[in-house]
Order: sequence, then structure tokens, then C-alpha cells
Amino acid sequence: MRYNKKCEEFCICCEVGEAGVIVLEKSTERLTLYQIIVKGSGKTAKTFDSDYIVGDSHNNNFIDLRKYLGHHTIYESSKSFLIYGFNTLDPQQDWDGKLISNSFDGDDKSYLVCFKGNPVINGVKLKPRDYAKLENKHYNVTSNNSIVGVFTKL
Amino acid sequence: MKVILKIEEYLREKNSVVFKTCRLHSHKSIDEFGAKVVSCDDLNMTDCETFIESLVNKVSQNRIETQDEKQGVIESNKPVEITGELDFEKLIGVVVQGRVSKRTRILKMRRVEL
Repeated sequence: MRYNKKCEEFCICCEVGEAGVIVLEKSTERLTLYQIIVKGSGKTAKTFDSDYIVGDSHNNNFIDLRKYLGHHTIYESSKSFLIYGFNTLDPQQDWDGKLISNSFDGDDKSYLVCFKGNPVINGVKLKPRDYAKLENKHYNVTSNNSIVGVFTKL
Repeated sequence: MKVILKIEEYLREKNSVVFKTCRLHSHKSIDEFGAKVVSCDDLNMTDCETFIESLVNKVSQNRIETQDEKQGVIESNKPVEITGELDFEKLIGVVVQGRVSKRTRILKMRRVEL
């Protein structure tokens, strides 16, 4: 099952399924810049390309997929999975993305998205799928084994 | 989406057909739409039904989307974007755009202030 939601300047998509699921995405719909694997594992590649990226919730749970922007892609799950995608709204608008687990200085070009767990940030306990626009200030983070991404417009 | 198509010619030497297509409920005649040539090489030519189905799947959707885009949107149908918490006061009397999709659902995201 696929889900998505436009959030102001970006879009978050989510795919949930069992092992052996194949997800095809047309080049015109391929706007995913980063993939976040919360559960399971799978492979992503351009169609008909032998080069692929293996994502895994334990070992490689944050993947830069910008090289696939505008290409037909295929995803094959090897375990039951829950993955999110951070998508640009405009293929010309690039974003930097990273996971954070420690306190950091924010800026007003960035958004924070919680993908898993209940981190506490500046005293606010977050839930999965909470997001916030950041400001030019310091953010105190207690990770609590969460998965939290910060994405910055370039 | 219900579509219709009309094959105008079969080009035997190229194994291609010249055809027109549009929505079943179009208020314009199918004859008023432009014709297109498509190769039958990758179509299912087992029988009439499979051929028509494969032709529709190969070309009709894109053609009809293009026709829709060219047709434009009348002023009173132009949608506005409304997001955030459900507030019927904001929605009443306003044209909004939705997407019919059996496969994609809306992800519940919540904006917070930190």
C-alpha cells in the first residue's frame, strides 16, 4: 500500500508491504531524493540497470536516491517493509538530507521529520510522521532510538 | 475511465494502425480528435478483445490526458488548494481538487512547533 502527503515545500511518501513486493515508479513521478527504511530491506535500481542499492533498516536505513531522479525505478523488497521517501516538489529544487540523533543548530531553510520513535526535541515529544519547520536556533535532541531526518533546501 | 477508440486504417506493411480515441462521455465527437499511428508489434493480437484492450492500455490514457490538458479548465472549475486541519467553514462553496486512486492513500502527517 502506498501513502503520500504534501507538506508545504516537500512531499513524504510511504510504502508498506510484504517480502517480494515489486514497486515500479515512472520517471515522471520519480521525485524521491532520500529513502528512509524503518522496517525490512529491499533493493532499488533504475529499470534494466544491474547497478542497485540495498537498503536495510539495520545497516543502511538512509539512502540518497537523487541519482534516480527522473528515471524509471524499481524497488523489490526482500523482507516485509515500511519505507518513507522524502520528495521534492520541483525536480529542479535540490535538498540536502541527513539523519540526526544529537542536538544541532537549525536554520530556516530546513524541515525536521520524525519517521520512527518518540524523540524529544526542545522539550516536545514527537511521534512518527510529525514534522516541523526549523528556525535559526539550537535544538536539543534526546533521540530515544528514533529515526529523525533534517532536510535543507539548497 | 471509460474510453472509446476508432481505428481508421491498418498499415499492413508497417503493422501499425491509425486510430482516434477519447473519453466515452466526451461532448466532442471522436472524429474531431486528432489521429495517431501506433505500431502493433507489442500489442496483443490474439483476438479483437485482447487487441483493443492492449491498444487502450498502451495509448489511450496518455492521449486522453493530453486531450484534457489541451481542453483547459473552465473558470468556475478551477480548484484552490486547502490544507491543514479539517474546517468545513473553509471548504464550503470552494472548488478543491482530489485524485482518484485506489492504490495511494493520504499519509497522516502532523506539523508541530519546536
